[in-house]
Amino acid sequence: MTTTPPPTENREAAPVTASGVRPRGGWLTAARRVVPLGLSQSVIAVVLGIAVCFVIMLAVASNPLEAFGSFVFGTFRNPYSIGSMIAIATVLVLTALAAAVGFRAGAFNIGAEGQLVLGGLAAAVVAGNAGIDGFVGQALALIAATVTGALWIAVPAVLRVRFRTNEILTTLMFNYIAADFALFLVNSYFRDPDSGAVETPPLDDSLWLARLLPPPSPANVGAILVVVIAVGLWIYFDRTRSGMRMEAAGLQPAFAEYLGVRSGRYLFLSLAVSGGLAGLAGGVAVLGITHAYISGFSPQYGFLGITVALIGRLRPLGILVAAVLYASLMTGATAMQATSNVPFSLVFVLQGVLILLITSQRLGRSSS
Amino acid sequence: MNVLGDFLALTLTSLIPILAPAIGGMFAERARASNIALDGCMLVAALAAIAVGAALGNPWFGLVAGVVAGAVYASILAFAAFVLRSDLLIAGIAANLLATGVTLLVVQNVLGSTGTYAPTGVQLIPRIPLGPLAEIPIVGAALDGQSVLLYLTVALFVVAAVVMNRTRFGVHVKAVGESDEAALAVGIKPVMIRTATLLISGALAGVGGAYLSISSVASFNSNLTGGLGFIAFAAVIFGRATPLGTILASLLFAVATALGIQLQGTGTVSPQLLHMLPYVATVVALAVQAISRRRRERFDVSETNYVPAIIPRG
Repeated sequence: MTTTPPPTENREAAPVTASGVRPRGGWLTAARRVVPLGLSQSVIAVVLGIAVCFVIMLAVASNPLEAFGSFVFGTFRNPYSIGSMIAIATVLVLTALAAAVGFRAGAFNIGAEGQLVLGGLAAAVVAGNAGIDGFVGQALALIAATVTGALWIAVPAVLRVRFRTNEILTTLMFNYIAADFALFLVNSYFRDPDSGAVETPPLDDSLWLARLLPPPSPANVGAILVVVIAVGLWIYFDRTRSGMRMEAAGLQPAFAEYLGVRSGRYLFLSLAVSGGLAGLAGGVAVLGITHAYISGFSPQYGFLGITVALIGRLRPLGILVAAVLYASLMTGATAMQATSNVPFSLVFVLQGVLILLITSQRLGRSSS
Repeated sequence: MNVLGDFLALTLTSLIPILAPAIGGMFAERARASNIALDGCMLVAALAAIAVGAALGNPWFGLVAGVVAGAVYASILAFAAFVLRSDLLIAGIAANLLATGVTLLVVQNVLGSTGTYAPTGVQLIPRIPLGPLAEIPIVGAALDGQSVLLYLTVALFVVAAVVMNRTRFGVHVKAVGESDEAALAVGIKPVMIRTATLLISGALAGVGGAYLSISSVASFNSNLTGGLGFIAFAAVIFGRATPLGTILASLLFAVATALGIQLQGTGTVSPQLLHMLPYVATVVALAVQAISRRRRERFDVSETNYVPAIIPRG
């Protein structure tokens, strides 16, 4: 982490008012340099965000202190919820890395949710139908999930790189298309005939990702896999030439081109990796947590990943910490929902508040 | 014969929740304050409209509540962009996610229902029967029994077109969109204009949201908008933020939506695939626009799309 650029590399200009720059492609398609400010901003934002949640609880909960206690510490009260926390964090790390890889190369992949859903479906279908058991079957399913995620972002990525179509809108639209498409595929071809719900048949035990903790707990070896991936991405971005080029292409495409870096190529690569990671997240969620593709299996992991990526300051190792933090709040929210009248949806409120606070250029400056 | 009339009627019905937010989004986009949170504004407005409409027993109060809620919600975005100085697009995405969370929280905790909020005794915005005029072939069938909000939206569009092209405010909006420095030099405050356009876009998104909850259906859930706000935003982009372009793009997406609904009746294609149609149409429209722009730019003198921020530009 010592070579990470100092915070002075952040965009100096205010987002709208001070720039005056209007690229011909429309300012929408200009590179988005999303580099959250220092660690202090993440800490301040998280503290403020949790404070906002507490205020909401004061307003709606019958017993705010108890609800707040469950929300923040509920995860650590029994081993089962710690296991759930680890399992959720595993998925969040992958979607957050997906968001971060896009951000660092100058693109905003907001379609992680769609890539994740289709990746999860691909994993369930391949694992269930390939007829290969055990570790090889799992690996095959995860590869299928990754490839599916990468393929699902290919169209928006080509449009972005070649024609500068606004990738925010296209990837977002692909979320809705993915939801419909997955529903169509499951209903038409892969649906479990014995089940009333929209889901694929449950997978054989040998295809489940190996558990890290005793049975009811869903923590699985996916956690180790994502740590390896995060470290790999850290090495890639901070220790290799190609990674530095990718980041340069994201920060300042014209400058990168001037240095002889093909910025478009790196942008495409980053989007493909981003989609692949999101697809893999779906595969890990299906093989590790739900053990079948179940319609609506993702509580918006794709969007939560954006929040986690920003809290983790787009750094792979920061994301590991942020994912554990956010997953513990999510598991805490489940506990809170059980013990008080505050619903789980508080997590989504927190998510929106956190993004606003963390991308604020004023908050970090005045307080650090 | 009737098929065409029904199709037109469906198109007009689908047009309301796309055109209304798009008109507002057009102002914001023109002032370079892209409101990608149109969807969130619609969602919050839809909930406010149905809650207030049910509580007071009058859909018009619901409509007003929706418009106010949309504008208030847009003011959060303005606050984030101009006071907290977040990136406007990312703040907009955050505002959309926040809208989902807030509406879920309010429905579950304040209104006390799980998932879908469907209060009893909610009155819908009236529909206008054409009486004898409904006998006119095609047009009569298309316009008969449409919601008042259709006429309101069309009226709003006309007003917006006049305001944009014929008034001082419209000129100020365009000036801010062209150049902050030039606007400042003649005494226009860019932040004020942008805040105003964001509030307008929120209020008009409120009309679209209110349509969904108290005119189209009489219930609310957090998936009610189904990305319509984003389709409206795409209509603004595709229509280059001009009144004519925006309404044509909105019509295009409304046609796609109506086509999807109409074909579901025939049962030949899977309903899920047809449900994708408006989203696919949006992506195709954006792609076509980008490709044609790229072709034009090929003949430009230089490629300086990304100019380092240190080089001042007028």
